[in-house]
Amino acid sequence: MLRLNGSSATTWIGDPFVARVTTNRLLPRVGRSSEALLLDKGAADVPDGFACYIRFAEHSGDEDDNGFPRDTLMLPQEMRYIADGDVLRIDPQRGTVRVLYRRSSGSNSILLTERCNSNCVMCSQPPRDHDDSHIIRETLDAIPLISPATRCIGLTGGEPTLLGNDFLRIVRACREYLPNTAVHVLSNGRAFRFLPFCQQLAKIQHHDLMLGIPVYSDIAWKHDFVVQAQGVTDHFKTNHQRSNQNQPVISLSL
Amino acid sequence: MIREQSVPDCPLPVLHRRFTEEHEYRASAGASYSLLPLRFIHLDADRYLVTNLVGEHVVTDRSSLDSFIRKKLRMHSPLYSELKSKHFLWDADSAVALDLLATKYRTKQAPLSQFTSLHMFVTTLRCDHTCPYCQVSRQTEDAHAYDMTTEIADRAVDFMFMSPSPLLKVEFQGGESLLNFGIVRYIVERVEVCNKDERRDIEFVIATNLAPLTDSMLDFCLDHNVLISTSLDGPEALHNANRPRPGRNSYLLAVDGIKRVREKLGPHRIAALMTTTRASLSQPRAIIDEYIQQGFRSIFLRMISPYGFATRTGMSGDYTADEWLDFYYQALDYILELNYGGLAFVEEYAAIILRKILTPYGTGFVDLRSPAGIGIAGIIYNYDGGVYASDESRMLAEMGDDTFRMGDLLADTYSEIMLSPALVEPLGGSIAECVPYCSDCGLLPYCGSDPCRHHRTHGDFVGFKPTSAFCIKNMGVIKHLIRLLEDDKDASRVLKSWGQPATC
Repeated sequence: MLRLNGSSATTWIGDPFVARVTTNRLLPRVGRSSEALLLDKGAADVPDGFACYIRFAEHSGDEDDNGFPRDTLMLPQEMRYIADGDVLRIDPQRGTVRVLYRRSSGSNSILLTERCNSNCVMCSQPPRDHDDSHIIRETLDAIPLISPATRCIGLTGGEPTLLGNDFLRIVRACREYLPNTAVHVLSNGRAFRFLPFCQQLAKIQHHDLMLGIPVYSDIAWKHDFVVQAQGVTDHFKTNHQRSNQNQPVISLSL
Repeated sequence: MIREQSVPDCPLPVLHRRFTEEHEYRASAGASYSLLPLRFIHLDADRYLVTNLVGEHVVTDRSSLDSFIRKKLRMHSPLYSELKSKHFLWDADSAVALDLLATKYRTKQAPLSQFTSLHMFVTTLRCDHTCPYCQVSRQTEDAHAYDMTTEIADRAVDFMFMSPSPLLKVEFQGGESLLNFGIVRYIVERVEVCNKDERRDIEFVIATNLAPLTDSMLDFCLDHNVLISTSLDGPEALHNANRPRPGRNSYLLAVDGIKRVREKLGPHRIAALMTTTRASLSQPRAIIDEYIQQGFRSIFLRMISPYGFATRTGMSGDYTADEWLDFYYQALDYILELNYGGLAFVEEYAAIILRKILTPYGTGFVDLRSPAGIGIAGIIYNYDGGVYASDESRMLAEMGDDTFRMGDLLADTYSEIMLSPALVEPLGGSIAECVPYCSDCGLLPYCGSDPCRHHRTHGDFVGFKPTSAFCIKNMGVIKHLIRLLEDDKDASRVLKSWGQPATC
């Protein structure tokens, strides 16, 4: 399995940020601040002005840091797959790197929050009740860096719709920056019982938005048991009906 | 079949204590249930088919059905869950169950809101064939008095665009429609001009025996995206016996025409229809093999209609609905065998019914709707400007019975024609929910009605179902399909693939 989270052997002082990987040393200076330059040669003639620099740890263990810029990440060999156009979230102080998007992959999903209002008995990443709202800013920073040639992008969680207006901002950003990209939202569907929320989402008029809502049973209480919440089945069934009654404003796949 | 005594699924063996147990959620269902509208019918000796008004179905035994109806069904049983999820009953678990049932009903009835989409134009009554089962009286080839004029064609096209349907299917009928190809060309071009403003989704189909088909006609069809529908009754001897013409070469002309259409327009731009005659009954396999050899991937097995020359020559009395059913079952068995062997082939009549059984969608097929599709799904403009509720009703008119003549394109307005008693009254008699025998029949959601046929055979629009060939035929086919779905895993797998939502 691909290693998406890694630690850098080097750290420096600074806030977490999002950057896109590039190998273009000749990138005009004015465009360098959102890019992380992948260094494949020695420390000689490293151009300045990039968001940060990336190199990979050699097996020899005898690392020579001399000459590299201070803000150079040293990532493990397993992350050698990182390539032009990939988008990373970098926390320089902790020396952690998370790959948010890989241009060469057909299935990119962005986790918007680890919070959730359901508690499914089989969940592989049970909800965590902590403030992770920093992800919103990072996602909004990352979306403009994603290739517009991307066919499809997933928005997942946790429960993405818990972000409310910020969720809508993210969908709006996808519409603006990724005009050819389909967006698949994995949701428990419960937020759509609020009509104004549905209307606001519909009003974005995203060109290709799919809401994927798992239904675990056609018996209401059995679904409620699986997601460990009373009465939720009626929530999204009302919505399904709503999309049926009016013109289908958004594509809703139950 | 699901019985009350069937074993329920095993619950989760261990649940972490931070989760709430299943029974606490189950409690929301309460301790009693109410029935929702349903019908049932004997399937065979010990089984019943239970259906509801949206076409959901459950097969169960008599004692389970009995305890269900008497509200004594155990709420833990799998049958209870099945009946509940399919909206045969409801309890306190869900407040939106009834709204969901309404949504399903609305979906099922949606084709009604489209109104008339199939518009048939009789370009001429002339024909080179003299088929004994012909559904319209043909004239000799030079009787131009039976051709549609441009004046009538103009009125018919204007009338068609009065229909609110976003999809308009323009089908040319005869006689032999190509014997008046000038009017076909005229209508296609006029429809295209009108549609520059109307912007409907238009489909053109020419129904033809292919004998008069020339290369320049094919060029026209290619340029204007016209589909071809033809008749193929089976192997050469059978086809020629059913469809006599001078030279006794109907089969060769049809097969050659099919080939030319495929080469010019594309392999799937042609469809064929077969009519079952007495001579067909003994050779279902040969008929199906013929369709496969001619490159078709499906067949529509049709019982003969009691109209046109068919009655005059006594042919409709030639076999009974039961004899046709025997033929149909054999044919279906053979088609299923072909599918098991890896050759995908579909029987279209079964496919229409299966979509009604297996999906929430209704059908546009005229005879399998309630109310019937006469006038409101399909309408026919005769060569002389007469407007009829269906292909069959103008055949009756050619036999001297004007019952279904809705009006005249030259004399009457759209609303006069569409509100004519010649349409409204038979439509009333075609609402199966209000008709004796149909109203409490468990097969109602999958069936329909044919007021034109019943007018012909019984003297009124409703008919008397126990002696109606329409009823006997549909009862037979639908029950047979349900039994296959229930009892035969291999057949069920194939039939379910036919029952996918239709694209046309």
